[in-house]
Amino acid sequence: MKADELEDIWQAYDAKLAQSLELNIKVLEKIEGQKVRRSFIALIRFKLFAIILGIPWNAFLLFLLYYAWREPFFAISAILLVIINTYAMIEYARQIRVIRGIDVSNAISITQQQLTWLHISVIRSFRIIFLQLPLWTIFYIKVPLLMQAGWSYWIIQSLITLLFIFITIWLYRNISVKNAGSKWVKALIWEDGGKSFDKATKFMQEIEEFKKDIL
Amino acid sequence: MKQPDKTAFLALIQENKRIIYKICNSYCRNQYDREDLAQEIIYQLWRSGHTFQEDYKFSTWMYRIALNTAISFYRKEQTAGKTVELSEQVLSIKEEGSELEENIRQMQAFINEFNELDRALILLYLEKKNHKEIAEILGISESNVGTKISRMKEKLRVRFSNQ
Repeated sequence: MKADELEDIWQAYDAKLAQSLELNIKVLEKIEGQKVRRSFIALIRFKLFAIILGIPWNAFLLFLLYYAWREPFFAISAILLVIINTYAMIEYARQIRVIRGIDVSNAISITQQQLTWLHISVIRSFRIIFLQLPLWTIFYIKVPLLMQAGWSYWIIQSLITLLFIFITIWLYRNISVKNAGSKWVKALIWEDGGKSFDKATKFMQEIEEFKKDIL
Repeated sequence: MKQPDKTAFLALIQENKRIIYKICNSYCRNQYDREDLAQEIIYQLWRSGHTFQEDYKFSTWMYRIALNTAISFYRKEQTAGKTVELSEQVLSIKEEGSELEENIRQMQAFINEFNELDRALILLYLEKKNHKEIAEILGISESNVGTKISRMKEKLRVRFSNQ
């Protein structure tokens, strides 16, 4: 088969469709009537809500840090929490900006790049947010308490912290790779058709490749 | 074009139903997905009415929306909620067994060998769009369009000379 033949088949295909393709006006009217459908509105609201809550939360943590910076466990936890929260808020703000800029009537490479970036960013921000889990098991520890504590305290505290570190590593790995398409990850990342981080990244590379001028 | 009035919109879909069907057929393998994608494209066209600029070519606008919707749809592992129950279809075709059917099947199989971005390019090429318009729809340069089409032709030659 040559390109000319392919074009001929395409024309014949078109002619066949002209004869036999039927448009169901009744169904079409139902579709046209559904003006509010799946959209990014819920996603924007969720992210705005998270930013609005995140700012006073960070301020509160910094306020506590000002008075308790001599407590090493608290100080390290609070600093890391503020960094993670700030990262998440910046990422959310960027996501809102991209969502608002998505226009399905833009050129394919531009729109697909925006959608894929959004996909990657949503997964990436969730992975980072979960890194704070172990911090919640150590922030309250005071050095004198640690020095006086018996073996039972050390064992229980270590087990809890290790368990949370294990959960964090498990979530970090599983949100990003194989199980990203599973229901629980989709529910977690608030997306209606999650593909894996790897696949999204690969598609981003394909778009870049597609846009490149190859002579 | 502002939000189209209902009659104008119905006429628009009637006029472009073949290309919508062909795009759906190139991005979905089963009938249910095709139907859902057709509904999604029609919904997006309705919703995006206000984004059309009078000084712009209508077909460029329409292809961009239809192909962007199809590629995004294709990239989802599972179809999301359906607009209308599938007891009735928005676009239906009477299937007939014939030589043409076999040729169409082969052509479709060939198109399906490409990734979703190249597939859009082939569709536009077969729709006899010129390089300038293809470049505008896809957001790449005209020279890139030319190179990709040459490669597609070469792949076609190799693919069918091996049979």
